[in-house]
Amino acid sequence: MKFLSRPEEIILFAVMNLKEKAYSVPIKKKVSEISGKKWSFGAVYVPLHRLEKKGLVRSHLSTPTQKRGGRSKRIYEITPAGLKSLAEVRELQKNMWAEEPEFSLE
Amino acid sequence: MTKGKKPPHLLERLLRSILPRYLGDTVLGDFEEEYDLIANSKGHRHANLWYFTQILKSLPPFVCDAIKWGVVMFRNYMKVTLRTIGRHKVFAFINIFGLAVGMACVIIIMLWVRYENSFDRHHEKANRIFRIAKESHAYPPPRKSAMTPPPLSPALLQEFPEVEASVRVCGRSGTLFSNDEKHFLESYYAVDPSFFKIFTVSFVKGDAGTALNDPYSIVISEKIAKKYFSNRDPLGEVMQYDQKTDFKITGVIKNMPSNSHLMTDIFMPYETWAKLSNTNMENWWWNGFYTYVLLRHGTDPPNIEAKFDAFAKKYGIPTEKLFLQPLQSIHLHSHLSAEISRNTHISTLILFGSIAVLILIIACINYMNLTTARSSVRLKEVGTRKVVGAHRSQIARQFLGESTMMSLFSFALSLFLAFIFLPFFNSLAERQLSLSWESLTQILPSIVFLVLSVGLFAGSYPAFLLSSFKPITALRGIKGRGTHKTGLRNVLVVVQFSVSIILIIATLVVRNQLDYIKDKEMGFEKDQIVVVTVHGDEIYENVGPVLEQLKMNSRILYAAPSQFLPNDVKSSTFAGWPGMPKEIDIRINAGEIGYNYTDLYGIEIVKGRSFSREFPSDESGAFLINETAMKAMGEHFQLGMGFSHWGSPDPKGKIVGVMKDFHLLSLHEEIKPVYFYLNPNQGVRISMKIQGGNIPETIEYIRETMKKFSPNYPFEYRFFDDIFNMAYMDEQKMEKILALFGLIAIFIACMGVFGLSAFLVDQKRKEIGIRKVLGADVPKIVYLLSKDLVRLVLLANVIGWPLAFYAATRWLQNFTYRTKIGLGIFLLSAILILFVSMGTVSYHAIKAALANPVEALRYE
Repeated sequence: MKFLSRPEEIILFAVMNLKEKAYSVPIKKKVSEISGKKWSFGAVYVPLHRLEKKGLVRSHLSTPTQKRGGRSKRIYEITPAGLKSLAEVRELQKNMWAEEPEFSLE
Repeated sequence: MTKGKKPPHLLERLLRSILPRYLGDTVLGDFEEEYDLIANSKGHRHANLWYFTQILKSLPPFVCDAIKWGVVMFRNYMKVTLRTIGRHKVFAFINIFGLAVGMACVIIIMLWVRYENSFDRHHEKANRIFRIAKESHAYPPPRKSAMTPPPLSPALLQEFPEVEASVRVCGRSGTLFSNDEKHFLESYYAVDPSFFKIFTVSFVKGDAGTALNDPYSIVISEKIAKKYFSNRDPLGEVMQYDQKTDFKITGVIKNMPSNSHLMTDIFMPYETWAKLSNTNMENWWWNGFYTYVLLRHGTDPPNIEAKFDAFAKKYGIPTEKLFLQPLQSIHLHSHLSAEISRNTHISTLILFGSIAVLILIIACINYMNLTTARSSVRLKEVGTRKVVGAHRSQIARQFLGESTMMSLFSFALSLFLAFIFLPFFNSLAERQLSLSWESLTQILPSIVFLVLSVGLFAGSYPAFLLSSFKPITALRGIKGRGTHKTGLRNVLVVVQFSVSIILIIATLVVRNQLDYIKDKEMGFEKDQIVVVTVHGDEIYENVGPVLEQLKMNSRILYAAPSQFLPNDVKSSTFAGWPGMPKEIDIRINAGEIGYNYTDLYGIEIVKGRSFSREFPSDESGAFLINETAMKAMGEHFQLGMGFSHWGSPDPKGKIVGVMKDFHLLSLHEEIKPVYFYLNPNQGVRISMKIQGGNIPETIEYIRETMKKFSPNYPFEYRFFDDIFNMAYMDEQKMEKILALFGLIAIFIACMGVFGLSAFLVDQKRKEIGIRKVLGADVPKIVYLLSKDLVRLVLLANVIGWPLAFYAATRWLQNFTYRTKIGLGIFLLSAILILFVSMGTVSYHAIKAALANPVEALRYE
């Protein structure tokens, strides 16, 4: 089976977390918070696009709002397959670290 | 929340244009939101910078994309274009060939214009060299002349510190130059040694600085060196001038470039020439020379000109207004009397330039009309492209690209055409233009511009029209708007034919004027008159023995010496007689003639008699004047009265007769007062009236006679009617060029009509079939098919006539004596063009009308 890449994982997590507010700007903000690093739009768009192609998220255009110069947002939503993938990597993470309970940098 | 801050409009548009279309809107929205965030937290500058970085980041994929799809689509367009050409060979031929002919015209004219513009540019100091010309107010009307007196040049050098150098130039022709073995008649310049300091002349041998310093030195061109000395080194050799004076060759120059208004192969020192020809170098009224000055750096020409009045007063020529002509402007802009060489009028360049462009426009119109008329053929393609996502601008670009490609093909063909027709143009324009790589690269920017503008112009209307179809209409296969919306197409056809008509009328008017000149009663005869030039000092002093010998041949009816021929009595002076009132000034043209001159040329005497040996007193001073002169003298005139020139009251002779007016100058000018003075045994030329029949034998007799009296000179003769026609060379050339352009214009326009009608007839095949079944006969169907075109051609006539009339009237105003512009010319050109265009259309119309209706209707 194929696992998600880290950026995909983080973004997928953000989409799930943000629920109906999940579109690029908040996603970017969220992933920056989680990872503590600045993400560029490009770094968000590309994995999002890939996730959509894999069927882990789906998207629709929102009704245009006054803000953003009357342009609509592309709202993302996690699919059941997406949820399953997230669960898988979480499981993987847990299983992996179970072997080294004492690990620490210090 | 406050209204969000927005990124600068310009940046936003830039970003939008480079982002892939599927990302477009939402991404822009995202960026705007982020921009607002950054602007609020870190300020505008930061936000702008960020936004700009986003643009830079989006660039690389955009460029890659554009290149990739550009190539893919270009290959597709190219393929489609080639297929279209292959599928509709006739149309493609009409388009490409028409455009090529138009471009060839433009290329030739461009080469010509470039050449005419290049005159005198090769002189290194060209922008500081000026010619001094003058306007004489001595007697009305003022006369502008390029010639100035000999003392002017030294005086200028002395009076004006701004003048660095000055030179006198005197051009003469028909002088015998010889060395031990060879002798020829040559033209030459007599110039001051400073000539080579002012003008750039490249020396092969000898030194430009000192070449003419010795009074008996001479400088020759490589051409002359080859002619006289073959392969010997001519430096230091002797050339004899006019069989009298030896000159030592001190320099050999490269042949002077042909695009130079000063052109000669032999230079000799001016002062020596003046001495040999007994010219008074101090005479301020002897306007026989050209004066050029080299001004110092930074001199403002108007400053000098301002001082010319005082200068003229000081030297006793207050009536002469001197002015400066920049060297480089002389060839195209100076048209004074007595120019040293024939200049080109700038308006001629403009005229032929615009005609060439008009022809090209006609060809472009063909392209537009044929492409749009046939738009239904390509509707499916346009529709399909739109359905699979082509933007309107892409379709437009495709058609523009297609026309540019056509334009490129045409350009290749036009080079070939220009190459073929250039010799023909050269003979018309008397130029040696060549279509070499070098000349092409020099006009390269104009050529690129030409190809692109033709492509874009010709493609503009089709691109606009074809890209405007809605895919649904296009695909439904309904004959789209393009086929039926004929308005603009008709306008374009009318434009084509109007231009053609104007050119035809212009040609006919010039033709008429030339006929008028040929048939006009000039007041003298032109036929069977042979003219020879007198050479050699001895016989120049006394041609009597020559005349005696000539008269011994019974085929020579008359022989008479004279200074001028009756069609060109150009020297002028002022009439004078005893007791002439002070207020009378009669400018009168003047010439010297021998006995029999009036009989020879058939000039009628209306009062008194012609010069005659029966009146020995004639040889001590006798005048003939014309009627105009008589009228000018009015009540003072009396047969047998004393008469003189230079306005002098002391009579030089008596008026023995009055000649009927004849055209002593070209028909551009009115008949002026003229007198002839009897000089029985001197003259530059001898005219002979000969009998018809066996002319070669008579000429041979004249040749032997002339050889006997001036053995060292080559024999040259000309017929007077040829000389007469030479005066109207410009008009004859104009007629030929106009006729040529006119034919090309009609030809291209008809090609367009041919293509258009082929298509329209095809569209109406079913209609014709039904009409035939219902009983229409062939003429009716031909009428049906050609009536539209006839209407358009008639309309073109209505537009073309007034324009042509205006242009023709303007042109004819150059002539004092001119033909009338009759309605005949207009009708003739209308009939001609109707005939040609009808012929073109009827080919298809008759073919369609004769076709079996079953063929057309079978599939219904």
